[in-house]
Amino acid sequence: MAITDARPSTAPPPDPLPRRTRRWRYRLSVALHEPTLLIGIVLTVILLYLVIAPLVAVLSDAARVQFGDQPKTGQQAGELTSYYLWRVFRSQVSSIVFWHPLLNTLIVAVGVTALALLLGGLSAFLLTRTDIAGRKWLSTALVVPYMLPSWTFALAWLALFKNERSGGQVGILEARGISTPNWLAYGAVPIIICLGMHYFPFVLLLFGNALRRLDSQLEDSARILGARRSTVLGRITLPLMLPSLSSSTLLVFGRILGTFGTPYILGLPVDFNLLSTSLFASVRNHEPGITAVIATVIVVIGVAVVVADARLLREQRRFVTVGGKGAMNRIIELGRWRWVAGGVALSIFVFSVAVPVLTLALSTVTTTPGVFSADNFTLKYWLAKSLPDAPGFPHGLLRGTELLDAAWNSLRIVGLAALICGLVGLLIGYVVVRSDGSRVATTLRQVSFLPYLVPGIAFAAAFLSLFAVRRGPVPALYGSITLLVIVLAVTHLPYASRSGISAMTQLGREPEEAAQITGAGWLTRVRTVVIPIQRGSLVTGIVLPFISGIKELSIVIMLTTTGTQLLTTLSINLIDFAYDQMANAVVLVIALVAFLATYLTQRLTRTSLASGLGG
Amino acid sequence: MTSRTRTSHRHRYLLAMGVVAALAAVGCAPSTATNSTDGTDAADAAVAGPVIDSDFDLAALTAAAKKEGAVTVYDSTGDIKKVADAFQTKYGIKTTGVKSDVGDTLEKMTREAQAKNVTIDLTLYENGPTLVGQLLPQKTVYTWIPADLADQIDEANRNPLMVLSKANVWIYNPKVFPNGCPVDNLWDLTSAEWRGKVALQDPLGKPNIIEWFNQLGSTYDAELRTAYKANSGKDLATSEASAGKEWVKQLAKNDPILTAADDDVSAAVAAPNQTEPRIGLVSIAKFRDVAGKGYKMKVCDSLKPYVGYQYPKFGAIATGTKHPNAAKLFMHFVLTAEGITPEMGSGGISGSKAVPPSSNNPPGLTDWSRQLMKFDPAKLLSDFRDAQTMQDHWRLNHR
Repeated sequence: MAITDARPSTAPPPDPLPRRTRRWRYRLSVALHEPTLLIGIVLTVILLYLVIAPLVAVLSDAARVQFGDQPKTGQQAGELTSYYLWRVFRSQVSSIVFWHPLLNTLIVAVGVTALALLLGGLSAFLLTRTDIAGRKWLSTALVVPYMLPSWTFALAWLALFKNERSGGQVGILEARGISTPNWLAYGAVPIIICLGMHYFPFVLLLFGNALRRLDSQLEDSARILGARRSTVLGRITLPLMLPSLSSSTLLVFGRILGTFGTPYILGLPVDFNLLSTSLFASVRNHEPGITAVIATVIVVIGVAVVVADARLLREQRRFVTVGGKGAMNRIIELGRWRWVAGGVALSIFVFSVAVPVLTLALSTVTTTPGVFSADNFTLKYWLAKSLPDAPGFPHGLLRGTELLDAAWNSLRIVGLAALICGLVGLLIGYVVVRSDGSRVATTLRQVSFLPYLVPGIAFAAAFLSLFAVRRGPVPALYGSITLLVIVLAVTHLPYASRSGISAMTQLGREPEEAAQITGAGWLTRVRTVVIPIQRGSLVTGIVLPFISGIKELSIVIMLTTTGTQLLTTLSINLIDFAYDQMANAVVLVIALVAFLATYLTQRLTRTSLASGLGG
Repeated sequence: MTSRTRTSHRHRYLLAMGVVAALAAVGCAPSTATNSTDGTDAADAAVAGPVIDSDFDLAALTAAAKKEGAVTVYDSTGDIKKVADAFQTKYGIKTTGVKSDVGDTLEKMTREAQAKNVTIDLTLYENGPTLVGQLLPQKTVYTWIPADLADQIDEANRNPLMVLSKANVWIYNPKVFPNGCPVDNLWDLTSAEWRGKVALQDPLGKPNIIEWFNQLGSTYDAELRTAYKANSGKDLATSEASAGKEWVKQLAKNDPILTAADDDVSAAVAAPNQTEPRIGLVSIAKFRDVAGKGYKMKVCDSLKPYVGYQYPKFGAIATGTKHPNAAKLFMHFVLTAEGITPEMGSGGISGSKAVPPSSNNPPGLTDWSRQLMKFDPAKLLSDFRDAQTMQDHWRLNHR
């Protein structure tokens, strides 16, 4: 399939220099037997269209007069203009629209990354290097925060700490008579805490994996040679951990740039804006020019972080190769501190999972939040036959077919996208590793990571404009489920391609060469050799996009049309109807679906999430 | 590999990337701006007048609509589901009513029109400025008036077609203030006494509040000045262009409580366990929570010059609809008492004079024309142009 597809596209490879035809013919015949390069080129072309083109579509709005802005710019629609740049960077509102949000974004990103590294690093160390009590249970439980939609933490935070500043019902603490100051209820502090608790599992997975692979003999040797503990830590352990540290920093930092739900909920009452909320405001106000400028800045910051990370990793590469042979994983025996350590890890679980989940669960069974009297408790939001005061959803959540329909749509659409992600991710890994160092490999690796750095809403807007009309052979996909699947697959590809690349690095050429000698074609080799060996990372490459996709809101809300209700859009609709109780109930359902899907897949395939994220 | 060759490889690679990206840009990703019109001069273009079919025949329209079999309508209120159900029951046409923010509706209808893949057949649309500034001139939608009801619709409400007037009102909590509303003048809300106690939805997220701010300045300047004098005994001295802008500035500086939705405003003022003294601006639709959630709220009927404002909801049919007749029939339906009543649960005035005003007015609101400000439909286009200026005015003063 890939071969026939690829033939015509060999004409414009990313190489500006002309070559002679003879040479091309030879290359082509080699390529047919070893299609890595061909697949690489096909994948690159597809990704360039699906990743770069939408980006360019959005970003080019920054320099052209948008319809309706003619009076402001004094120019005709479509003409080149610097008006949007001026408005964002230099006008009297620039500090509100851009500079303060930029500063706030940096503060929050640094804060969240630090908190996530602290929580994740601590729990990773305890879980992999010590005999902490309840180790096995904890290593599953501490990944759960990532399965909760990130705005869950914000909702739970408000349910607890909301004060009279933001309207609506006050939170549980205020209702009990404990007043909460603004800095605690809204703004930077709660945003950092909420996002930090949401993203630390990333660090736990990556860092834990690296710690597990770390050869303790290296540390032992240093100790034998008389090095002090601090020296061992500073000269041996930390340098060895640096790649995974920088990798997790990158993943967390990148996510913060585009996260908008939590900052919006917690920032609005005190006018605390991030670049992502500023972007959201311009999307909502239908200002494509401003949207484009802010999105560009976000992408530029993201790319800068990736480049910095790549530099750091290149410096450190020689250290990484040390592991692998004769490694020994020494477990530190904590003695009676086992239980203390277990308590610490358990308290992380309590604050990052139990508290938000219970707060939400509690809110779904109370009429007026925070009032704990018998007549205030009700199951009507789950079970009632009819709820008269909300025209949009006139019965309990578990009645009727809305919830089931939405859940089925979510499973179907996100599942399909995740499956595509997993397979493409593995292919990308295959190409990148097999043609290591080639331009195709480098391009592929970087382009497949790019979606991670672009905020979902910017992507959604881009895809809307790209697929709103038919372009050559690509039909107008807007309004179709296909588009939703494609967009979800593309935006969650970074997880899968990371997992694919790291897994393929560990697989030598030998098994495939053996198959090749017996006459197996490329497809047969992939089917019978590569995929069975890579089962674990393939599963990770499917499950991670699934978890992330099932919580996805900003992309979905822009691209769904009537009739495709997903769990997340259902939740938002319920909030619109002021049925916070039922909206929270849907959030719980989302978390449950994500958890069950992960748990069952891991059980059935005997794999673990951690195995795929490394590298 | 030495670092030198690596660097040069890097540069060549970057160059190649750049070329490819540029090719992609030119080849397949035109800006969203270019495909929006076919050369028409944008917002300055006169909005095409409403279509009134001269050969209108309700029976024939009904038959044609039934043949099409389905229709989808977007509205910003959840009540649209009730209207859709009533329409489906009456005509047997599968009807989907969707509650959607005006911004999303605007974005989606525009994109669908570009894609020639229209799923939204018609909309009941609350944002007049973007209707006349974007949707109508881009021919995404058009205005259609049923010929048999045209006589009942005032000339001023025809272009664009106003289907319904709704209202936003200032409310207070009668449990906290048993002697009636604690304020009697709009300027009181900007006083130190009410600092941090006035609640409203974030104006940056609610277009009709921005439009109201603009209309305060353009249409109600004199009345605001009179009210100022009545309140303080002296003439308003301001460097702002209008009394409206001055009032907006003072309100923005008075530390108002901003919320993401007006449900939070009604909860902040009127929730059963609420004891704080507050004044809030909400849609009259929120009065359904009085029965549903035990809210304690009343319209602040002593407020001068007005207790709130009427805002129009317009009807427009997608130009590229695949169900043109069903869409027309639905438009006809919402211009009759039967069709619009579900949206007038807490009050409202139909665009058709044949439909009597709703008697479901919230307590304190008795006379819409006397108690409420009314947007001047002739100023929609200037409201569209001034929207960003007013948003900036709010932003700069609210910090």
